[in-house]
Amino acid sequence: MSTLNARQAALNGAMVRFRIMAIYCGVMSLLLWFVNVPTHYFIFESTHHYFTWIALVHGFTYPIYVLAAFHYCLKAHKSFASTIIFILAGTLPIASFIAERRAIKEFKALA
Amino acid sequence: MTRSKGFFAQLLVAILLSLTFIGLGNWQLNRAHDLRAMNKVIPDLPRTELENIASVNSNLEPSAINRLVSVSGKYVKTFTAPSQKLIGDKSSPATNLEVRILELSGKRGILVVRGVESLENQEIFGQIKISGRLYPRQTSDSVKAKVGELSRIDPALVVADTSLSLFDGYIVATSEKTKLGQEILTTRIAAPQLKSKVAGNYWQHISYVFIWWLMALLVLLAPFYNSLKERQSGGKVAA
Repeated sequence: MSTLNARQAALNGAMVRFRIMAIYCGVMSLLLWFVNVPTHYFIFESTHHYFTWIALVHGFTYPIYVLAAFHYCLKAHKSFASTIIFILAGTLPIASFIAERRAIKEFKALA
Repeated sequence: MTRSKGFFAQLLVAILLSLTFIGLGNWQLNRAHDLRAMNKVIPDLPRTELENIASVNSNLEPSAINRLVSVSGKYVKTFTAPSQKLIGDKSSPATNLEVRILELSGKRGILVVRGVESLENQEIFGQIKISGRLYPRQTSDSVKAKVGELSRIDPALVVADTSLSLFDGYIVATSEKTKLGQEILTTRIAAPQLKSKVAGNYWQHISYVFIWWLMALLVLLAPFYNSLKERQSGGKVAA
């Protein structure tokens, strides 16, 4: 396991929290967009009641992602525009995975 | 510590955005309360004559919707409304319903859903008295209609088939009696109170309330973002 330099060590905690929430939010967004919404409006509508929990859980946990992303961006000295993009990434199915990959790349670049 | 004009402009925009987000949070809160109120069971008011709560050629008043009504007249025309979902039961299989125009005195008429369509066309002559519940007209088609069919239960679709002035909405009959008081039997459908649709469920709306209010808070922090960054790094940083 490689050792972290001072800059990486300062960012590590916020980065790990952001990564966990980004992956979690990405999975929940995929479920929301490709299971919950289609069964509500387009196909297999009679099965929708099995999936109502998705929107509920996503709704209540998204604020945690927002806080994790905000804290990470603040620690990583990102511009305000980047911070907004990182926060909004939690609402789109693939975007939070991309944000998580970018965070790792930037973290490694600090070495 | 002096602040630039730019900072105050940012602060003003942030406050406006924040107020907008708080408003959106409040809107979701209202929707949550509406949803809870609409799902409450409201006791039915006493049955009334249709003419007391509605009139021909005008939209149904919201207070008239869901009322238990009675009306007398004679059937003049029969239609089928195919592939109808039963009221208040979205998971029910689609059913073909029998819909008739009931002619009232004074050249007036109203659509009546008698029940499930039967194979033999029941002939009903003379004056009958109907009891049932009044519903608003349907607004979306359930099927592409053929001749003698209704794609949705809407008086606008039968205007060309009758010279009567029509009431808005339709009645789902729970009882039909002849002038002599004899009950007319058919396969009835349930006529529950119609619940207004507010998308989502209560806790989902509450979660959105938290998200909007959190966004409002974050937007308020925006003008101070660089100061927060400075504090994190212990010195001046680029924006």
